[in-house]
Amino acid sequence: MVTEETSGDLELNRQSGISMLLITGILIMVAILLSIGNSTEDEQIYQLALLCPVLTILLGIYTFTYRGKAFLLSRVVFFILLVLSLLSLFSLWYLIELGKAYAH
Amino acid sequence: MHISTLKLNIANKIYVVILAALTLATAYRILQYKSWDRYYYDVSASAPASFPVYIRTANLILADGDESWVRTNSVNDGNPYWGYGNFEDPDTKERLPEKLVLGYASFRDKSFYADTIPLPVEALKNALKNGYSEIIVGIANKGNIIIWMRNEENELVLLKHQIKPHEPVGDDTYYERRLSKKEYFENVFRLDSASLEDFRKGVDKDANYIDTPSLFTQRLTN
Repeated sequence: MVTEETSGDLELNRQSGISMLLITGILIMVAILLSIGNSTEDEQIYQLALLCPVLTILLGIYTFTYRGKAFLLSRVVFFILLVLSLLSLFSLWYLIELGKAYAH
Repeated sequence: MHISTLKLNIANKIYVVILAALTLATAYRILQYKSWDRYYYDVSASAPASFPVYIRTANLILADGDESWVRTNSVNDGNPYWGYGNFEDPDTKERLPEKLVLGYASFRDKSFYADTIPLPVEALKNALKNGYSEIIVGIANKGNIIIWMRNEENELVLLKHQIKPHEPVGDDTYYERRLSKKEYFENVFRLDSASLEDFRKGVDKDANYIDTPSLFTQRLTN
């Protein structure tokens, strides 16, 4: 007999599995989109610097949707990504400001 | 089948929307970029040493409306060589050039020439497919233009075109500031005294470079 709780867990697992598939799909699609065409070095730096925050937002949605012990790993990864995102955004801001110093 | 199998929670709905938007954007980008209609090529100008020109404008209008540039260093730096230019290995594929926008001043006849020349796109495409990846814009005397295409062993003539000379107007004589025609020629051309003396004597004055094979062809046949 399936209790309400276990059926809820099953549903949660199913939805989180779909989420992971969709996140993977999104990342593959982003990779394809960025690989088309000629990017300048500047554009590539932007893309690289924004990739981490984008991944953080995607995983953030996941982390705040699925709570519980089973999803501890996603929380850990999310916080690591959050720190990395802040770092990469700060680096980008620093590069842009540094660039301005050379603009005549 | 459980009825909830078709249901997505809010998170998954958001992911689906993002994925759909990305898929649409990727499809649009692929169709717009047209990688199947792009080629590796490089374009350089060339002029005979005895008819120095100073190129003001040498742009290509590409099939997607983008602009690309013709290399003019060897001509403008006073080191021209008929049929040779300065090439670099292209690192990106570009759409086909459809028009050449050319403007230059010619030292010996003290004339200005400018025109937009439509390029024979089909012939150009066939040549590129056959490995003719160097395009040379030859600026002969008397306003004659010849465009060659070249691979490692062969050369073909893509087109010949003649431009009528005109008197400079507006910014035609702009070189750091707007100059008179005489000042312009004095400023942009840095010719040594031996060349100037040769020109005074009329060396090569009856030459018709549009009919002179490029030095590349001369080397091939010798």
